[in-house]
Amino acid sequence: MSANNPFYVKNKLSLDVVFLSIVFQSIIVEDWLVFKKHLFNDRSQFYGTLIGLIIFVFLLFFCHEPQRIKAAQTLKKSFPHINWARPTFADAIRFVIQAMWLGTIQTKNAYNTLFFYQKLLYRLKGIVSLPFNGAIKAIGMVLSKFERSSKYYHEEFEPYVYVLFLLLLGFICFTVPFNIPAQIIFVILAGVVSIIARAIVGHLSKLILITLALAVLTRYLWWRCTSTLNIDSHIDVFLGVILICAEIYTWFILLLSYFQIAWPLQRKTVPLPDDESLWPSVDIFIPTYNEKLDIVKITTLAALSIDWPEDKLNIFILDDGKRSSFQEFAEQVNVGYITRNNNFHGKAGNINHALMITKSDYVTILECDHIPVRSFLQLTMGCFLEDEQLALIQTSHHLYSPDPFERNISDFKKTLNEDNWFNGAVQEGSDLEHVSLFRGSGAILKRESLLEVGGIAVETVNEDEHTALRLHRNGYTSAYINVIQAARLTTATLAEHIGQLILRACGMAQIFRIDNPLLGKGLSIGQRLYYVNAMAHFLGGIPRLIFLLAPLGFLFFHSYLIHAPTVEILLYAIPAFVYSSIANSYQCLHGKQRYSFWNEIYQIVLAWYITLPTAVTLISPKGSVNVLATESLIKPGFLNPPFSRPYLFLVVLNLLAIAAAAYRFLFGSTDENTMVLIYFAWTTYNLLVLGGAINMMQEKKQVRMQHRIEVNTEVMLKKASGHLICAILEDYSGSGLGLRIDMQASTIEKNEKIQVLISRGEREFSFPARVTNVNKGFFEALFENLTLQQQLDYIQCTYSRSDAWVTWNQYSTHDNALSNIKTIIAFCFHGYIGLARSLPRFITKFFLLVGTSTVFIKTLLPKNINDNSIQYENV
Amino acid sequence: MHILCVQGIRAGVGASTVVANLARILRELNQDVLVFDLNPSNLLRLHFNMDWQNSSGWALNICEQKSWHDAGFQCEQGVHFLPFGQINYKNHQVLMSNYISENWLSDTLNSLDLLDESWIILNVPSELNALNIQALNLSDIILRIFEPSVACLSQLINSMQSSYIHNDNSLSNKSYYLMNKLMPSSEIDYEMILIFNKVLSNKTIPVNIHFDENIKEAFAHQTTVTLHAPNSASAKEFRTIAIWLISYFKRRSKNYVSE
Repeated sequence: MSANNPFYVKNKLSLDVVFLSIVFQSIIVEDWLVFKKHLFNDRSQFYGTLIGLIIFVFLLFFCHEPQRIKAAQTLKKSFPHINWARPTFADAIRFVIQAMWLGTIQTKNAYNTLFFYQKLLYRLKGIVSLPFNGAIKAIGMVLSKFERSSKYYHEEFEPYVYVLFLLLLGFICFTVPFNIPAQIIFVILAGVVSIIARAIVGHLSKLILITLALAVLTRYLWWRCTSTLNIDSHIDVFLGVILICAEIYTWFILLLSYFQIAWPLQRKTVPLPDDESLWPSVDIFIPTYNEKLDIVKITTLAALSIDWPEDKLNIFILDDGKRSSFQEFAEQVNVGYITRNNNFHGKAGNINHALMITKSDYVTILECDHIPVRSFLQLTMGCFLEDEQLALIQTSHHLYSPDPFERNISDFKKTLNEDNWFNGAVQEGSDLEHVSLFRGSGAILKRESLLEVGGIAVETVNEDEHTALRLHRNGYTSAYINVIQAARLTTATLAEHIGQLILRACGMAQIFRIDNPLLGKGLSIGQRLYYVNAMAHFLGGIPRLIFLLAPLGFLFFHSYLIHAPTVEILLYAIPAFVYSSIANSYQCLHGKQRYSFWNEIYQIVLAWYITLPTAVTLISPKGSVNVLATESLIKPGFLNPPFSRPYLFLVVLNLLAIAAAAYRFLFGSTDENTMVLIYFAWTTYNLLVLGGAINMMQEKKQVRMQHRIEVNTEVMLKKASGHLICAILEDYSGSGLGLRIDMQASTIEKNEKIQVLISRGEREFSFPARVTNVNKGFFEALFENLTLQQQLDYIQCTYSRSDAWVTWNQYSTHDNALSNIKTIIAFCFHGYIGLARSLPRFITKFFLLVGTSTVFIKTLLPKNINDNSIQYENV
Repeated sequence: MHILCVQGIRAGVGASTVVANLARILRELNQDVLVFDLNPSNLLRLHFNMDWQNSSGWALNICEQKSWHDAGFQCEQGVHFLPFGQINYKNHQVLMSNYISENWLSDTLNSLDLLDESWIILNVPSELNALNIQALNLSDIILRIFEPSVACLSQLINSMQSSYIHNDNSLSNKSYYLMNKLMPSSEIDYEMILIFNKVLSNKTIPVNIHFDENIKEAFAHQTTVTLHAPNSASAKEFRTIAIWLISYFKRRSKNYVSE
């Protein structure tokens, strides 16, 4: 049966067949099916099912014992949420609902109709896209021939002609007014095209989607600007213009980011020449100020393990803390140690000072917690040899500990026990990091060029980007290599994370005031736009805040922000919203998926905190930047748990708006009702996003000092008794390991001294350790007195293996908006649960009541039976 | 028939242990296994829980003019094995000179009429005599066991320069080397691995058997480590070797077919 079905969907069978097959042979059951089909038409199958069940119950009295037991088991499987041992009254309701569900919806017929449409859709897609694909090929062939044959072909005119033509076409597309049927047809056509586009493999589909999104969005904006302002009322015009400005700003940001991602340059690594004497010499700088030696130690040992000719690799610890323990360590492992008399300009000054002392051709800057793998230089340096103008290579920043956002989501994830959907979700969402090319660490710079622009820039708090800007101004190029060749820790707390972002944002604002990338020589249009994009992103919080407040304008003050009929609003706004989020989730930044909704929540969290300092800095760049930024870092109440006041305020406003909406719906004029519903939906969405933001801001504690990196490798243990057992290495850190053994076969005791054998390539290394913590099969072991050589071996076995981070993203999945909705709603709802916990007791009680009753109602809902064991196989 | 010869480079490197463990694991993997002990020290029987007092074996039977077939045993797990039997020096001399003819071993094995898929594991002592050479010539693969010691290295280099195996291409082509008794955390052992890998180039099996208390305990219990401590590291190592051997024969038969 299933083989004929092209989608391999198991047909669900009606309940009576399942039960009757317990009593009868399959032949009789099949006869019953035929009989049922004849007697009842498709719509009244339910009665057939009912009669079949009654027959079954009647037959049950004459059955053998095993058949009765099997019937009881099947019953239990079909009604999994009912407590058969001690049924309550609610169970009776559950029984009736579930029986109706199984009898009607979850039967063969319902599924067949459902899949008929799906099948039709697939066929349709295939038919429509077939000539489309053919046409693309044909056009490509014709064009390539045409280009070759034409003699008077002026290449330099080509782009301008194209752009002019496109602008004209775009203008017509975006401004032609549609009446309502025309708009409906436009929306449907756009939908069909985007469905087809998704089926096309490769880059084209992304470009089509972006174009569609732009068309829909721009049309929406044009419509907003030309026909939705209520000119009769001054307040309406004022508020309406603010909203339109916010919308134009978001559109602008989207446009810029589309521009940036439309054609990502996936740079390939360039192989080095075979002759090692041609390989350039490299200095590795590890600047540190107040970090612990343990952290710097791992980075230094990993740097020592980099595969590069020994006489051409010089490692320096740049210690602004001037600590003797660091000097001792540097001497032990034979690396350079540089200090200076002052601490001017922080990290930038530190590196500039070291630049004066050292002399290799290239300089690698590694933040002290940024651990390189052994192939770090071999995969990157080839680019420099190939391209003379290249002055900067930035490697992909891989964060091996979850960042505060991710951690807050992931803790939630454990309670939901979902798959790895969150993996890298917010990582990608924090695209603010991705925007810049030089991110201060994990980068290689050409010394000559760096000295030419005066070393690392010290004028702004964002020295990395400013340096890159200067290099670009002097005609040098930069490269980004998207292979994880180094990994680092993230900030420990959300406050710290936001603090860092504020610094970056303020730094960017300073750059714009001091050394504006839009003005001055030396930059290409692409590079200028790129900086504008970075700046615009940091100010993106303002429109977001406006959107959160906009529905209040209507619901509180009865001001028509969008002065248009409801149908038109729906026809313009919903496609615009849907398309922008579809294209958003399609934005392929460096090959990874951006998770649209999480990004939305993330941006909401940042909106309040980043916007204000950035705007202030933009107005007075020399002023209180540092004070502002550092103050936010130090002030303990900055992000006081469980959530912060501005968002609480927004939540209260939106809740009031809901109440106002209810009031207007019930007591306002009836012709406004549809409009009220729209604003109600908007407010609900705002509340959802705010709930998510609040949940995300609830800081989760980080227990361990050194973050452990999760792996899954087989290792061996030598117990103190001399027995060797197999173990799975589940995580590691600089000081210890987390291992799992089969507890049935062997035991391990606390404080036992063991040897852990880890192999790397053909070699095997053993590390002495002591068991500290045993929890069933899992235990933790701390290293004991590793020699320096052993520490080096250990780093090589773990952090600096060249495949250490290769499998990191293997679980990251596409952002499937629909399948995530449940999770997202649950996530946002949890924000409010956290909120409710800290409210006065009587309100908490009320919330608890709502919560428990929701849970109770959920148990009444019917369940899908996916258990194959109760399916009747012979049909 | 898959004929596998296991021979230690020196006495005492643990060849009998390897034979017993491999036999049990191949049996676990549903293979028919016959173990043939050619070593006069008659130790193999102890791995299969044979009674300490029971001195019977094929060699003893032949010396006593009985049928050697009667010396066969089957252990609980289903491995068939032929112990050597406890015989003295004189009897051994008589055996070698009077009874072991030139094709004795191949005739004997053929007379058993075993299935094509069954395994015969020959436990061959490290010193060479007429019988052992028959075994080596007859086998499909020779597994030579060594430990990471200087003595083994010296023996290995000696044998490479002079001995029977390395002058014969057909023999050296089918011999593979397996390291036993690797001591974790011993620095010299890890150094020795590098040297052995260099000397033997690609002829080593990509698994080393570590020195493990479990193996010693298993022998004291008259059984194999795969039964005694199935989750131990060494049991897993033996399992890996067994899989390697199976895939070796699969590869070989494929090559035959393609040729």
